[in-house]
Amino acid sequence: MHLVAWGVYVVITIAAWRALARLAAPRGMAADTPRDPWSALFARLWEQRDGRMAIGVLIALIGLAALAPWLAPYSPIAQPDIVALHNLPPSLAHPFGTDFASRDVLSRVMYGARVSLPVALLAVVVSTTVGTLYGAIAGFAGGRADAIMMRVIDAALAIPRLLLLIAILVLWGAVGVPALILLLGLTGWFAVSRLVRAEVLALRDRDMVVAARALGARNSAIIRRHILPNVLSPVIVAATLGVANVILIEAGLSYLGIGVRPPAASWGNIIQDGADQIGTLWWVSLFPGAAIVITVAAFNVVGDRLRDALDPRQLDGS
Amino acid sequence: MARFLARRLAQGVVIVWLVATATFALLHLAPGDPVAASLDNPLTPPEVRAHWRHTYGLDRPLGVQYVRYLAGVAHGDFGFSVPHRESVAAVLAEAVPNTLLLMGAALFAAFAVGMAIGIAQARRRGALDRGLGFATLLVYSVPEFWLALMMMLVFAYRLRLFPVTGMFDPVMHPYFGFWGRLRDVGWHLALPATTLALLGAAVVARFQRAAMLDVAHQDFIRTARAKGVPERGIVLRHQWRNALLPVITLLGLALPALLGGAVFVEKIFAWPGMGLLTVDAIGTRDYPLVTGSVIVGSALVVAGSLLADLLYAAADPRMRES
Amino acid sequence: MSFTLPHHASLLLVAVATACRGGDPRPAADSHGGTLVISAPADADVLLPPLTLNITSAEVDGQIFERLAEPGASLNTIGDAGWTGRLARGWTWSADSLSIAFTLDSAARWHDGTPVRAGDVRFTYQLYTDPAVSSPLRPLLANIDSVTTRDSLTAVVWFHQRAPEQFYNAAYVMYILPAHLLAAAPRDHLASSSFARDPVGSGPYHFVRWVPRQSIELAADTVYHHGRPNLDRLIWSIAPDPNAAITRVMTGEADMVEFLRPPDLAEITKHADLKAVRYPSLGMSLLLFNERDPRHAGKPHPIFSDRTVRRALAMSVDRARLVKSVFDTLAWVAVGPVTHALPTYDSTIAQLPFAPDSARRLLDADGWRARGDSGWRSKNGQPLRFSILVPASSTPRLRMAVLMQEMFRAVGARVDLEQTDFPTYVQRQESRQFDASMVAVQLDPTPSSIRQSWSSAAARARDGGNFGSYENPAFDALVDSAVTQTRPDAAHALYRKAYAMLIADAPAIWLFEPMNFAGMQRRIHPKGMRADAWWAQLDQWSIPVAERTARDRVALARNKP
Repeated sequence: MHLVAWGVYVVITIAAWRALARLAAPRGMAADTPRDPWSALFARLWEQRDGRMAIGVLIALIGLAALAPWLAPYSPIAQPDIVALHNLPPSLAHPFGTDFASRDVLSRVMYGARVSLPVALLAVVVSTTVGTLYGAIAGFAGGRADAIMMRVIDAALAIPRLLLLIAILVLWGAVGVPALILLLGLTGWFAVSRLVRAEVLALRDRDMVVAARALGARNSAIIRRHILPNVLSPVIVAATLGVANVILIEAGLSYLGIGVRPPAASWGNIIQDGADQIGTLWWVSLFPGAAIVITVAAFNVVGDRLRDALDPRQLDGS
Repeated sequence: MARFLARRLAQGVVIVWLVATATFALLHLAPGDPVAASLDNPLTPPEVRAHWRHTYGLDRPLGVQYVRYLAGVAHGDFGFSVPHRESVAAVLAEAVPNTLLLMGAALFAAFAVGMAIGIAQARRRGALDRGLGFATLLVYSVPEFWLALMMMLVFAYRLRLFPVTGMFDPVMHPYFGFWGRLRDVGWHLALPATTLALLGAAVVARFQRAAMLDVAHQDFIRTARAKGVPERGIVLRHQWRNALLPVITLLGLALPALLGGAVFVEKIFAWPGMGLLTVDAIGTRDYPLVTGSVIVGSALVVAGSLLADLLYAAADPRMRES
Repeated sequence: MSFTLPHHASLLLVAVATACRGGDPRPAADSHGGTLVISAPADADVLLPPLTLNITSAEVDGQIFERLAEPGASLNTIGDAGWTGRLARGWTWSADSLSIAFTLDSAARWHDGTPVRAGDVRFTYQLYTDPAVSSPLRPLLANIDSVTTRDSLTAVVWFHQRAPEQFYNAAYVMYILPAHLLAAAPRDHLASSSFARDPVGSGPYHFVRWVPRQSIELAADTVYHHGRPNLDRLIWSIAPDPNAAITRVMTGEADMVEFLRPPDLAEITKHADLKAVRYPSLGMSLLLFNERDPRHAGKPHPIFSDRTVRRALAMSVDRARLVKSVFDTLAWVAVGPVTHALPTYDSTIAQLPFAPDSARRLLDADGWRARGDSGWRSKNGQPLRFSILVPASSTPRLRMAVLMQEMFRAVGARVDLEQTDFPTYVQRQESRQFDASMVAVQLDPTPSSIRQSWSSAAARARDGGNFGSYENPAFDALVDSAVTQTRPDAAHALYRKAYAMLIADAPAIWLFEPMNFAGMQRRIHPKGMRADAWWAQLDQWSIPVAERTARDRVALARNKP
């Protein structure tokens, strides 16, 4: 039964990889055919070997997370035998071993991906949206309003994000996963807003914008049609790197016991399960830690390559 | 220059004031009774509780408490920490030097090693670049608490090279002479500082490499090459100094990260710095200490970024005119 | 360990420097000497006995201060059998047993040299019972009417009425404090007085220094009236958490830790220089049900006010396997609100069996039906769903809660886990803001304290210790007669009946009683580790001269640099 599921998973992953490769370099297309910017961007990303591999890793991970209910060899919360089957080191039956409650660590890590990945992705959506809006408004408004808005950002950046999160989560007690996502998102938009504001300031004085204003176009329309599309590139880079960062933060909070709560598994709280016996139960903390490192590294590589690809100097072909 | 400084100082004060207000609001919005939680004894009768509440002015309206608090801060009085049984200023005065020591050592090592790696990567592209790049990528992607746990496991617990936790030997430290104490603290500093330095070096290396590559393409470098200046001279004199600028910016950004981000390292290694102090204070609902700590921390951050800006101005002649 | 080398070198420097200065490093000519470093998992809160329930404070206070008398190892609290005088040399009962006259040891001195006087005993009683001090121990002194002084060395304790535990109340609860140093201290913030920062007592060790969150150091009182203590120095090395506390002993940074967990025990056997010492204890853990609704004041709990549900839940938990999984062989299944060290312990009391099928039938019959695919039960719209409050600081309790969650799921009860930091946990418990709570108790050395935890009066009192609000008049009556019964065997029989009633009513699930193992360096020779206080005879612990390390040889004279 599982073998079939794994077979399907492997087939789907390879097919997705192939499809992406074709997207990057469609067969039979001449090398210098003009393409729309998004597809050109993707092609750039695909060119580099580490970009390709990182995207491959991410596809595999997302597939694993999505198909976990069929792929995981055991249930992540079932406790088959808390006396005889607990604290087992890695073996064929349990490739990542079992924890104190005889739960299979491999299954928990796979299900953990179903929590850690969406939490990070959604949190970044929140922070990117809020940050972009704030930065665009500040940059566009200019003058006094801009100065005040930026002072607020400076103050917000002066408080360490982790301390703020710890304070809120400890003082308000158990919050559900949606609230956690909102919190993570709402504490991470400050840097993005600065980025967007800088872009907006640069764009504001460009000819097309000046012309649009002269023609009487409304501000919101200008923001929507001229500014936002150009602002997107640094924002995408920041978002990708932001996902990596949020995965690390959520893991840390769950490790402290204030992030995702048991029995739901997230990579951070699986590490917590093994942390106080790290000498003897090393497998409980090692494998989720490795999962975090691989995922975060993949996102970082994609973010870096995106940044390289979007660098205007390189686009000029120098 | 004086006007620049004055303006930045004024902005700094505004920022710290905003931070203080935000922290005050956050703590007083939180559910739970600060007095109840910060008193150790759960069986204290209600009349005594009411008495404590009155003594600390917690029965006044929120606005009054806020104004009194700000007035106190302006005089350097951050209030009284009930769990520590000391004034907040005294508690902070103990912890801030410990954090500065840890941060200082970690930052120094991070920047020294990171810049060296970044420069080496930019100079010799190819296998070394890719290898170092991969290594820094991995280190950069490791969660701080996990790295701290691993370091403790390997170097303190298994190999017994360094002490496990703390800042000094709790038994022998008072009996050491000056050099003995220095060595004692140094030995305890090694693991937490190395953990932070590793993570920091990875960040700095990536930044430095990117900055150097950026600069490498610029015209004046190409001119120098065309003029026949030896490669090493180019790297050292032109590329590096110009690449320094983004790294200085990074320094300004690194400060809040280290002040707050050292929470895990301080917790796991029990280093008595501000991160650990603040997290424990949050846990014991020691609101005056939390607020005081956040204010001092943000003041340090503001000072740090001002310093970074001054360094930037010193390093970049283009800035000096503006 | 490579880092002891710097220690040796520094100590050599210190010794040389002292010798050159012509100081007085006391030569270890006699067998006295040695330093014991105790790895404590938590800092003391305040070193004043009337104010603290904190364990590290209790350990330190037990060396600085003295009680009038100490119980024997059997912890008998009915009458005075087995008790030995400490600060008191002896005592006499009045003919009507309404007063006891304690004669103080004339050689007893406060650490500042002043002799201990009967007036100090009277002052101590007044301080403990002063409402401004708000001592949590005050209720235990309720039966004492007053303390008077017959002469400078005789203090008389007067009681309201005769009771089996009169002597225990008089001798055990109070640590005698110096009147001449504390009389002027402000009663309502005693904790911040100068005495609290530099306590002076009459015990075998005197206070040297307390570096907050790092260490507490005591040095031997060489003129202690029961004889100079063997060890010269006691140091509590405060670790940030229980894990670090144990690791410090493994690496040699500390000499002992008072509690080992099963994996640590296994680890210790691999170290030639460490040993595990077992000692009796009064600790146990239970899952407490709140019988009042925490969300609506004054209303009964929608789930736990029903005795059948509580019994069914208790029967759905396989306690033997729980204990085996978390503790292996190093804990017993708790049989009730009592541990092995108490004379009323009885492993033959009828327990609720592990019978999930019966549990399910009981719940069905009571109206809790499983709905839909999930199998969660509900009754009249109230789901069988509750949360368990656990402090994050306790790994065994956390793990047990996760395991029980699964066992409850098997009978259709949906459980959420609420993990909080310790201060929040204490506050939630005390203000009764919980559904169920994983409680770890340190029982008093007397079975009569069952009243503080389970009587109706304690349930109704705002600061009573009956956090689950269990009320049963039949139980109250049983305990009242047990407490007033003067014959020990009759009293114990009554207590057992009371335990049986508690087990049947299931106000809690009695989980485990851990076996206490202390981990210590082999060179330490402990003595007199009592169930209520392993530190009761620390002044008689010793380290043989031949096995002393450099740390042990630091001279007593270098106390306050």
